[in-house]
Amino acid sequence: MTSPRPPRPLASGRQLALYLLPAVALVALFLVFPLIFTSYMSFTEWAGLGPAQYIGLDNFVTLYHDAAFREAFTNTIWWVLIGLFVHTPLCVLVALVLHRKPKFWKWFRTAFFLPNVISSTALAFLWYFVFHVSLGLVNKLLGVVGLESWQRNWLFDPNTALWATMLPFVIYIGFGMVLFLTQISTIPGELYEAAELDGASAVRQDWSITIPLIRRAIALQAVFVVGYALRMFEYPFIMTGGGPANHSMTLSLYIYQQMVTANRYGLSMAAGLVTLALGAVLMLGVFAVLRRTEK
Amino acid sequence: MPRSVRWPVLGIFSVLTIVPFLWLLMSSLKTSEEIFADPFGLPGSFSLDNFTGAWEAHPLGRFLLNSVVVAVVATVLIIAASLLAAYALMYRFRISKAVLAFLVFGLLLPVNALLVPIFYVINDLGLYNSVWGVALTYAGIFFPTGFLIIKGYMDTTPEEILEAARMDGASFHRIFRSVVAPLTMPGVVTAAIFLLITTWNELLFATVLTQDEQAQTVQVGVRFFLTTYAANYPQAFAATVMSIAPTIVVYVLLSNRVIGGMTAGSLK
Amino acid sequence: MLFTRKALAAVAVTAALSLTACGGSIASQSGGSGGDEITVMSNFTSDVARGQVLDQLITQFNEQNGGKYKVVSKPEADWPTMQSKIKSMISAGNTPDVFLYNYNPNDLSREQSGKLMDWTPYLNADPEWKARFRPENLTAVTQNGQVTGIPGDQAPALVYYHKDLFAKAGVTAFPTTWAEFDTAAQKLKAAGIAPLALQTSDDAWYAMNAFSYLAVSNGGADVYGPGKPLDSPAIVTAAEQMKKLFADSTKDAVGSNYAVASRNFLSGQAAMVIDGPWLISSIRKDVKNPDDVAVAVPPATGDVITDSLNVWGAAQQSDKGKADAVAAWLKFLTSNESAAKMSVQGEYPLAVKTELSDADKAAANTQMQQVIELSGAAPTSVVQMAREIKPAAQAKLPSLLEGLALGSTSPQEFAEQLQAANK
Repeated sequence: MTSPRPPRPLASGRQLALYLLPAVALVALFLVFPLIFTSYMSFTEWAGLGPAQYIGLDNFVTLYHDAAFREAFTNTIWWVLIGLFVHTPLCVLVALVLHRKPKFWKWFRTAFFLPNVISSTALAFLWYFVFHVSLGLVNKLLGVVGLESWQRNWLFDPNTALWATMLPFVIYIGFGMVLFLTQISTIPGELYEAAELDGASAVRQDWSITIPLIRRAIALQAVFVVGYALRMFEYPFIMTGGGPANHSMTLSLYIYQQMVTANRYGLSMAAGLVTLALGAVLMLGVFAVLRRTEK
Repeated sequence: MPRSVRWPVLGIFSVLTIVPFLWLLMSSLKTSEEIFADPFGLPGSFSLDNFTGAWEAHPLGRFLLNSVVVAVVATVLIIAASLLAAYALMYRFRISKAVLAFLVFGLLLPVNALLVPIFYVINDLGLYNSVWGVALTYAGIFFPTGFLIIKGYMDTTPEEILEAARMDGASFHRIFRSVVAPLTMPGVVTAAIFLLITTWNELLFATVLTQDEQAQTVQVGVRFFLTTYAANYPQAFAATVMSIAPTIVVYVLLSNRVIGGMTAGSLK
Repeated sequence: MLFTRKALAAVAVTAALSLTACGGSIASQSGGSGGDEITVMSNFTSDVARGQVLDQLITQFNEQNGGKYKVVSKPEADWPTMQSKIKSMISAGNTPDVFLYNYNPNDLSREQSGKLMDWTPYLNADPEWKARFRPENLTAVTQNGQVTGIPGDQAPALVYYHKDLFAKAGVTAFPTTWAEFDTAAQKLKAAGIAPLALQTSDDAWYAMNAFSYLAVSNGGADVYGPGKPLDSPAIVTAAEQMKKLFADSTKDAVGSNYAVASRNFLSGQAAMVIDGPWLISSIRKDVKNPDDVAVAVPPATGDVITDSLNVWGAAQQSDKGKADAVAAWLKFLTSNESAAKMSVQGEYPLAVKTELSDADKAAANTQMQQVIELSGAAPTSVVQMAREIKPAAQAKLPSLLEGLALGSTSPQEFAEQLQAANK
């Protein structure tokens, strides 16, 4: 960036510090300090009011034995898995279709991306109604086509609650689709022309040219999916409240409930620390896989 | 993909994406009886009663205004801090790599895990239940993304232009003001779109950091239409429509830029 | 530079759109001038009878104290949300002037916060006023010699039931034992009516009411009192019975909220519900023949009814004028005249000695008369379960009840997990 023979005037340390100050202050106040605070307070019992009491690893023992936390943990892992192995392939599929520029492809791209600019709160509301037991779209549709026996209380049936809260995320493929489309557009057209001459089918081209060349975008998508899953709050909060019997609980919602509903601030932060650790492990995993595929 | 799957794929995803929205819009124009009796039918008569009812039931106007203030203030703060920091990092100094790492590591943090400490930071600053507290929090937690977008654009500033400015004797500040910042404007716009949409849509921190309509944003407010004691579905539909309308309008007008903006931070 | 101009235009459009999306100004509303203004936080919204009476009382009070004191009502319909809001306001050092909260001897975080007004001087200065409250209620809110609140209401949770639906199903008398209840439930079910409206979302209010009575009828009045183990055989048996009650409820019991479940009762889909007297307001409004709804004590309670004490807390005021305004308002609200008005017109009995004139009594509707009679006849009242257990256990109760209903948690596990959370 800077040239080998730096011309005058160079920046003084003071000028640099002055320019960096606002950014450093924001990050220090809202990310670094909270991180330290959480790591420390996770070992205390604290009701928010009054002094905190050091209790060692008790919070983590409590978490381990708490059925709600276990549900939250496994459900969050499910969010990651479904995000990686169902949602992401769907994003790739649509990107592969759109990259051949069928008629109205821009229109489709705009439509598919739309949910990404709308708040998850509103989308959760929308899907709450779609799955609503008495006035919901799903049950009414099943009634219309004569499948009354399939009708159920989707959001509060333990077999379907988690998947119902996840469905909007799975089918809103817009973000990943654009990510992959952007990466595909950097692939030189000659590669496809050559393959065409060799008589490779469209599927074959996608499989052996496109997919290997978009693995960086796939890795990036994996990073986003992990981040999204660990932050997942709105869908279960609004659609099911984490119920029934915690079957759709997530880590973020658990952190919120322990703080706001149960007033167990120390426990809430311990759950936060577990979430941060899980995030770190998953991110390292993604990077390790990426490095191996790039070799 | 073979042509045979092309239209089925596009058709299925179009239906999945569009139909729920249309259904929401249609339901927001119906009466409660119509919704229960015939969820697919068209509204019996065109009436905006649900919208006026929703507008009167809760201070939606105030919620929308709070959302605008929060989104704009947070965006401006992030952009200002990012421009300054990205410019400083164009100069190489002893700890510049460490500073860069410090500024972007938050990108990989699940920030919801920091709910409790951030509540206390805002509270101790005396900003609990204030739009400024929410805006400042957003500025903090969404800073890394905004910063990366802006830094990505700024780093493409041609070296010759900087060189020429230095030769003319322009100072550190002057190069920033007259050369680097103006040239980074496209990046600023991209970042602004991303940040406005992201901050407009946030729910968790807005819920915890506010307590009444003085500071509650529209995402928090919409929830009041569907609580323990309220089950006025048509009004809830109408309020949802009103809360998403601003972003949809912006999106429809500027879809290419918005799509670029929302994904730019990631591919740079 | 076309690109930049386009970009700037985009920003301008975005800004303009978001600004036109709303009117109004951003100026914050600070307290107006003239007099000491205090805000009162309650769930007395003006669309229900008690809210209308509160509004009338406030108008009356403000007129009487023209210029000196001014009371402003800040109602919040959603009770659980309001309670957590109050807690965070107290911990944020931003205690509301006057607020109604749910008293819980196992969760004295508010009373012990050191941020509430001490009522001792006001009560001692006015023995007549002090005598209006039950001594045990004042003792309950006394912390370190300070009286931290003024008893607000003590609403009994009773069974409200549709007499006409009972008749239709061939049930002649209200059951007095759980066995009789079961027989009646089977008859109602056979007639296509869900016996009991239950609900598990939010604070699981209806399910918790039912469970409280089951627990009391199995283990006596102090079955879940402070210090009592929650994994006792009585609780396990109650959990078993509770599971049966869920099977006797509407299909949407698990996951639905108060609004849905109370509507199930009001519309006659469910024959019974256990609720507080605030339901009367909705009965009068939404049930076709409101006088067909009767009130009863649940089966086998041994003359015990459950209730819950709500208390008016108030913020410590550095300003004497404001403190006096708070005291003047609560004295006004707890006067016999206000209390009579609140229980007759507002359908909401206050926790003070209330002398009803014969005219008042005649003016009260059917259900209110029965509520007054039943709560007068019951020798013992017990606080509902959710108000006697620790907040952590309280927070867990809804999901545990759901687990019970769905069969994923056994009665034994239910009791053990509840006990584990109550430490």
